[in-house]
Amino acid sequence: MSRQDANTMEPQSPPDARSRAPKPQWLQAIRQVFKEPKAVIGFAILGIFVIIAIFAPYLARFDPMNEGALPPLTPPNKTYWFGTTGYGDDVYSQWIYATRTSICIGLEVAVIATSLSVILGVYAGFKGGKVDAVVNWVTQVMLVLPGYPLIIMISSYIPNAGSQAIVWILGLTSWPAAARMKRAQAMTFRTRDFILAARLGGFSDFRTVCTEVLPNMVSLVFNTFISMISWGIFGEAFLRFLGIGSTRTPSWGNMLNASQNGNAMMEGAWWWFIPPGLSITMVILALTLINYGIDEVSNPRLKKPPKLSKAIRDKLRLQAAEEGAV
Amino acid sequence: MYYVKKFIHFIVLVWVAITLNFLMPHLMPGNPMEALVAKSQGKISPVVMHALALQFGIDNKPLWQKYIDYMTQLLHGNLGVSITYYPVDVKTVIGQALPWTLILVGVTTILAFLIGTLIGIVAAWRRNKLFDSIMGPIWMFLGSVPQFWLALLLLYYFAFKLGWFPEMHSYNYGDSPSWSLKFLSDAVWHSILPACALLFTTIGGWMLAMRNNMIQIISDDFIAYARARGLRPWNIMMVYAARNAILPSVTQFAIALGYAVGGQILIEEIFSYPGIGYQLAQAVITQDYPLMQGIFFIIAVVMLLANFVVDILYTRLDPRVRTEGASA
Repeated sequence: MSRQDANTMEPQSPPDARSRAPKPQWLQAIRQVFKEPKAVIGFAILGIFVIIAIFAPYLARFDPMNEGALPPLTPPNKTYWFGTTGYGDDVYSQWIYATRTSICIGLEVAVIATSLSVILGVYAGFKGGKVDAVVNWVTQVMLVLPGYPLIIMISSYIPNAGSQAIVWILGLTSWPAAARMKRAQAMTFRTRDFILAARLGGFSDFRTVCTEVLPNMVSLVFNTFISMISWGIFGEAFLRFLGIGSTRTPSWGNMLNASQNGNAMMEGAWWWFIPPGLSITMVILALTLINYGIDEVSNPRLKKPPKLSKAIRDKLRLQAAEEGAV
Repeated sequence: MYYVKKFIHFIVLVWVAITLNFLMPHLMPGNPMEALVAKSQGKISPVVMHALALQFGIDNKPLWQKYIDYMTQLLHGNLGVSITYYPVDVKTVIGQALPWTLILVGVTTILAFLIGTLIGIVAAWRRNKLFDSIMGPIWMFLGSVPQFWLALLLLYYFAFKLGWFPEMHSYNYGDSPSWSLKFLSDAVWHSILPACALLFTTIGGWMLAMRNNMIQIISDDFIAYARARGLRPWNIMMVYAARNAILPSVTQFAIALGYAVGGQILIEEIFSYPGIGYQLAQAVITQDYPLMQGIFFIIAVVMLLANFVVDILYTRLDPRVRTEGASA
């Protein structure tokens, strides 16, 4: 598929490199990512879940939380596609709505954590001096504090922690590692020529960071964003499974918690705990694949070894296409 | 000088952790301790209530006074009394749980590190060959499985469905821990399922880390030189490449061993395995705040200690760090 694309695309562009209109770099990067099979599979799986999340009300067949109106613990059949829970809810409909909740939580956590890591990491790393010293110290402290026990402690102190509380707890505690990575990269920009040029041009620090530094860190920021979505989805499931702030809102974590409390295992109701767990697995796998795809495009060290021969092959193919055109 | 600096840093971090531990319940809206005391009025004996009141400062003393009291208690090694296990104190509960966690999580951490690193070495060496292309996806998939869900599946299939393994706990009810062969084999038997859940989900991380390090090292000139000298491939792989690539993994491993003390909260909870993680989960569920604080304290101190040791270790293994003064 991608090879065909390459074949059909290349003859269209004029052979003379100088006359070719320069494509924006990010567009090229995106095209590169989509040539990476791992990333394509990842985006496809993620896409399915996002579609489910968006169209949840149209896909659900029953009220996800109708409190025992259906026969409990029915195995999957034509009416109840994924069976019913021990409390008499349709697992399929619950799962559809849970997908919406969990994907949203993942995205929210990712937005919070990524913004914090960018603001603190990039700005401090770029700025240096006292700001950097303070921010870096806080980052170091946050990094070495035990993660899971910490979020458990915080959330168990909050009475009836709802989704929003969990989002903030996960978002506010998960930025340090990403911030440190960004700081390390931002520091390397400090002495580069183009940054010096921007400074001499009278750009403020803020403007320099936004227009010169950040565009060079897009892949790292995107990487963070992707991993933070998985962390948000997993973290929610983790906390909910422990029974922290459990509500009747359907989410993958709440479904797993309910199945555990409802003795799904002893009743042999595998259809109750397989869908949410498998969904978490698939989404995290999809996000991991996307991250790998990006890595392989953006990290030259991970490039496949036969670099030269591929370049030669491309050149040959281009020549062949030219000859064919002539 | 470097070590002194590191040690001071460590002490400061411990202080931060302790202070956080103290401040958290006080900063939350509507002190949860007070809610707890109000809720359990009558259920808990007045003696415990008094102990709790002292420990969490549910009186009208100013915050700094409470803080000093708390610090003094800690310095005397007093972690307070557990509510769930009253009148057993928190230290005893932790003391009983710690060996189970150390054995289960410690052993699986070591195993996962060894197996994962070895697979990573071979996968990088035979990059893009059959072994690499099979191992990569398998472990990537297993790494995406939420640990506790895998634990649920294993428990459901192998314990409930097939009945091959016990469903819960770390030894048969009624037995008391001893060093007899029967008890030990029983304990091993109980730990197989949780250990599998831990192993399957953590090997991938070690493998990937090692594989990536190896790939970078293999492209170095000295490997090409070793090849040109006609050394045996096995020798180049293990002695030349792996030895140089393993450093980041080793430090990660030391930190992971520190983490092991914290146990595996959900896995231990699912298998009712009486380790630290299980106790922490129970403390959360039953709102046993003294036990929670005590466990957090222990975990935080051990993990900070692990990080401190890693910093020291790193300078011994890689002298470049010491001269640059970078901490990570």
